[in-house]
Amino acid sequence: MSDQVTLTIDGKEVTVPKGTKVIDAAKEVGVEIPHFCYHPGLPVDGNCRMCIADVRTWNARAEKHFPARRPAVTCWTDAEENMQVFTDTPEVKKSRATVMEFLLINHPIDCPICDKAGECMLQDHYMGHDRKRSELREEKVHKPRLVEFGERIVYNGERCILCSRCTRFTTHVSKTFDLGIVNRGDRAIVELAQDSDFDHAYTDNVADICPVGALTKQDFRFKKRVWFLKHTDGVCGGCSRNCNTVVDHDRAEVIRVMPRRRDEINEHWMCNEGRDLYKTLGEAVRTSAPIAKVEGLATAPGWDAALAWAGEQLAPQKKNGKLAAIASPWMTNEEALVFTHLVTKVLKGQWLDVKDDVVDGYPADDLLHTDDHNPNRNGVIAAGCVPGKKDGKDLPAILEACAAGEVEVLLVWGPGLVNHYDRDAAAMVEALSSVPVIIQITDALDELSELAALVLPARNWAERNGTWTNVDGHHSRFKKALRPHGGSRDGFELLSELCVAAGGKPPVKTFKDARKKLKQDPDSDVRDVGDGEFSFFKNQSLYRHHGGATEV
Amino acid sequence: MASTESTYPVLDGHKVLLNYERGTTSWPLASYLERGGYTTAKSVLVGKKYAPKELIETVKASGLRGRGGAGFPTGLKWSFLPREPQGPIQLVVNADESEPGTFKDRVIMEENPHVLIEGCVLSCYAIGSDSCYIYIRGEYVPAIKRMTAAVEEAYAAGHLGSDIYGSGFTCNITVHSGAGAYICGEETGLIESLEGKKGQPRIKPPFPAVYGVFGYPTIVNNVESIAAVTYIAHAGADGYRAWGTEKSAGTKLFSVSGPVKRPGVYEVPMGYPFKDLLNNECGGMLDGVGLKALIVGGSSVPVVTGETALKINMDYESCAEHKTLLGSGGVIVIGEGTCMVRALMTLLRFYHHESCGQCTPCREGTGWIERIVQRIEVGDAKPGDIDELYRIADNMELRTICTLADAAAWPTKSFIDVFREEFEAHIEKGCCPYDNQFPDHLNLRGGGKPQRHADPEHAFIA
Amino acid sequence: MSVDHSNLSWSKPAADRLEWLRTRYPADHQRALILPVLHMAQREFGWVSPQVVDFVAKSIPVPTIQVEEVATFYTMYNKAPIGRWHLQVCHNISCSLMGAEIVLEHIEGKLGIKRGETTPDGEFTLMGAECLGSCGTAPMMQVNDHYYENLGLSDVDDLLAKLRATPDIDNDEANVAYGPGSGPSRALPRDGEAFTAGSGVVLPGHAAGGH
Repeated sequence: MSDQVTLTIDGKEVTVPKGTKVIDAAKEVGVEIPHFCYHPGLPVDGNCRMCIADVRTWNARAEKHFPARRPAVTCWTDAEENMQVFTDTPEVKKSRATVMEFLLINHPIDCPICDKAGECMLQDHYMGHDRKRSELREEKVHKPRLVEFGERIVYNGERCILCSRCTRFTTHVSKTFDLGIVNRGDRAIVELAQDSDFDHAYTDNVADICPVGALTKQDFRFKKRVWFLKHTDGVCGGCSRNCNTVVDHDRAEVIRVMPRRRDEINEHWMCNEGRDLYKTLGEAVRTSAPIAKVEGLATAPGWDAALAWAGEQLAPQKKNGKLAAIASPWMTNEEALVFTHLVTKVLKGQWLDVKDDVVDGYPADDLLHTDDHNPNRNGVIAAGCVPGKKDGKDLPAILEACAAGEVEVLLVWGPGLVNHYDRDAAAMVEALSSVPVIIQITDALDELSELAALVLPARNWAERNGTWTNVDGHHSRFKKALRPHGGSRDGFELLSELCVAAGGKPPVKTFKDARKKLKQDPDSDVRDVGDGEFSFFKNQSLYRHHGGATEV
Repeated sequence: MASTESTYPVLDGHKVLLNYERGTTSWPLASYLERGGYTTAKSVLVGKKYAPKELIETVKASGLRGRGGAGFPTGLKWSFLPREPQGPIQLVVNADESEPGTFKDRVIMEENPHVLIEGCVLSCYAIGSDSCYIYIRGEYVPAIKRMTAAVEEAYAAGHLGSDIYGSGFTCNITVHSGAGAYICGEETGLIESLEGKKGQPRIKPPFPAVYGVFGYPTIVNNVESIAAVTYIAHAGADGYRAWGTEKSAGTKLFSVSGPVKRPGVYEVPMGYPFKDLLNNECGGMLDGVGLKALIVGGSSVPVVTGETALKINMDYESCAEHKTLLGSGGVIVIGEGTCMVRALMTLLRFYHHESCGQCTPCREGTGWIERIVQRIEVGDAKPGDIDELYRIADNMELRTICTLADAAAWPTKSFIDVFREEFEAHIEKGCCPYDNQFPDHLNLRGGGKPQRHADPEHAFIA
Repeated sequence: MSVDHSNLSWSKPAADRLEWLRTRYPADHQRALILPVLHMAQREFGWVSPQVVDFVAKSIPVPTIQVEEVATFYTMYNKAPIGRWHLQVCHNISCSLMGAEIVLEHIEGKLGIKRGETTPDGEFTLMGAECLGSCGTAPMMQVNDHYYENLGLSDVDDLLAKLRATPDIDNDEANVAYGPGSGPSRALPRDGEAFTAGSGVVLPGHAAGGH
């Protein structure tokens, strides 16, 4: 007996594994069935009734199709062999309009003041399946409108359509049992458990999955209308999980970061710390030009002069062997490729290691957090940023060598070396002070920049393209969202030029070649914004405004 | 006595469940034994009168239909159990009895609890279960106490527990109380409640026979259905078919309420004419009160006029023929002078209060239609509101997880179909022609009391 | 009798009953204890406060939110203290047809409170209730554990007077949970005495103290 079934949906044949729900089978043939309570990352509930379709099962004995006993919800119904599904009959359309009508009678028409407007499933399905005037002439049911669930989430009972996505999340995904639906009938509301402060790391996911504006984030309330936002694929740098994200920005500012679906990494979720990470972007102290503190070089040399000088410092180390290089776990794989090539191939260096830029954060848990609070240690190491086999020195040994005066040129990527939380900052400064030439390539200035002979400004994670490799070896690609800080250079290009300045050649010509060399299929991990449940932008009105395809 | 023989006296030629003199101490074990109690269980468990599958076939052949309201053939439901059950089979007795107008299961549990226990043992034997829960609505405190005491009596005397009568068969019964929710009368709502959750029904399929309480295969049956199994096991399918019609076999308890002389619970053969039930058993309408309308099977079934009522026989076919349903057998008699709009308003308040809130059309719709009928009742409505009410009720039907929405929609539509002119009168006049009140049939305001006070036969729970 | 909810513990009979209840449900489905244990808690502690919810959740144990959901879904769990006597007058269809609204208005007048309220002296809480399964003996009301049926207005007056005059029993055994009900079992004015024609139900053998 095969474990696949073949059925027809709106006349299109599709074969799916047994146990697939009809709503998912429909997606395979491009039929989008409207819904609210269904979410691919949560157990099915079937309470909104929006996904009702005409489902007919094949009865082998009678040799014909029979309609379901009661109209079937496609989120719950298993696809069966020879099943026939019709999603666009007049009856089904009437069903959807009816469900919309019932949902809207007590729903406050808050759109002008509701954050969800523009990415609201209720709005979208109203436009797609209803569009009728309200017939209600009664007082609407009133419920609490401004209930704080912890410090980050606000609940509006009147907007709530009681789809139970949020309660299912806290029961089955975060398993923290924070939320439940209390009371009966149309008095029902979502409530925070009396013994919960809703302060764990995954609270904000409930606001993402809320189909309406019932759950909103304090961080985003009244900040920006969503149709002003641009959406760029991103990856969270908060830890080595590398949750895929969508970076929403407007006019050179990141407004919010939300998860992007990636089944093998973060499914549909991300943590609060990751969401808040973008706030540190504005805190960084940056420079818009190389800074030099050395004789023979202007304090603000141009890039050409700076690179030339750096090359002059680096080239001799091929013979001298007194070069130490410290990579950063925030480098992209592409940057790490060139960095490694520069240090080990061009300059024959052996003293090479990766530091920890960030040491503190949420502890590892069963959901997403790992113990490594930096995004790309794995990728950087995989690219070869490891101590040389013959005569290599790892990071502690490098620092000792610095203190002992054995290092002539120290090449460091990124901030964080001096203010490493588990090291004595004063001792670090002293050790590093004995190094004659420190070249720091960084997007943010720190204590090391005071000591450095040359600081080359690089771009931060929101300003460049690249890939990271996560704790399980999955690659994720992020794209440039913000216009780069004036004067900064892209790391990949900058390192390639440094290779040349140091007397060698870059390992690859283009960015794409870099990924090929890293044995990453350039398109393997690309997920378009708009894929999966969470990236509901595809169906949202804002997508329509920006000319995106919609099949509502 | 030969081992496959059993004793089961029938009273008045047809009383099988209420086969004792009402008003006497009929519930203790000793009293039940005098009525041949547990001889049927012995004949089956020890005498091997039936193999389990044979007992299922017997129940099927008897034509017993679920007595809770849905009327689904009991034996057929039992046969849905999978051949390879994924877990220990459970029997759950639905004693949640909350359908307005229905108070018959209460009588079985308070006056004749052992016939239910014996029915549980036999049913468990038939379906291959050793575990039975009797879920009794929380408000029925006397019934819970009686039932619990009866279960304890049965255990003490060896009619329950392990290896009953040395037969090797085990049956354990747990009495479990609800806590006040009509929706727990829906079989999957009951299952959810038994599991310790809100009584929010599950989507079917899977049916409880496949995936029920605690995920085990489960059969949920009404009290009266299981109690009837005892007689069926004693008298066989043909014995049960001695009464009733082709499609409605056996006897049924009807609970009659409203302005009749002797409201109460009466056991009559299926197919018994309503007019006889009204005039013989119930003594007719209260003096001076005419028969205006009838809700024949609990508040969820369509209403009929008094004229139609007098043509109805109490069985499934006759009710269907007259555009209503036999339902739970909660017979609500409505007298002349009753405002039908107010009656509907009372019913819709109930459905609104009881909606579990899980799915959209019922949660929002029950409140909506109640509010519209309230406006009609106080005269604050427009002519279009009647059709609007009808449209909304129609939209609620079938689109929900369970049938509570249908149960609210059917009376709404039928009241409008049958008594539309009363709705129109409220709107035209801008007020209730009956002064926003029900008639005082008992003259309570004038110091009157229910006549049943004086009638010793009906001094008890009717 | 009002119980302090700040430091809750089960009485011995209740603790024993809890252990016995555990054996009636599968070991990996102990959530089924929530309804019976909440009933027990309401008997012991008078009403279901947040502290009681917490105590019940820990006793089983289950996540607190699961107990909160159950306590708010079902009508029999009182989330606020109620009067000594919980007067629940059925106002569903059959009872209304036979004068339930008249009875309710009468009681409201007598006690000076509206449906949903409690008298200032803490004696009576009056509610309209949905069908209690006593339609043939309408009009009727449920008072704590008992049904009072076939009520005329004078019966109502007599009942209220008797209830007022009935003291609480100070008896752990008698008050222990047997199942649902509004608060501790109380001897009601029908057990063992011939309460007059108003009460349709006299249950012989029904012991004083509520068992």
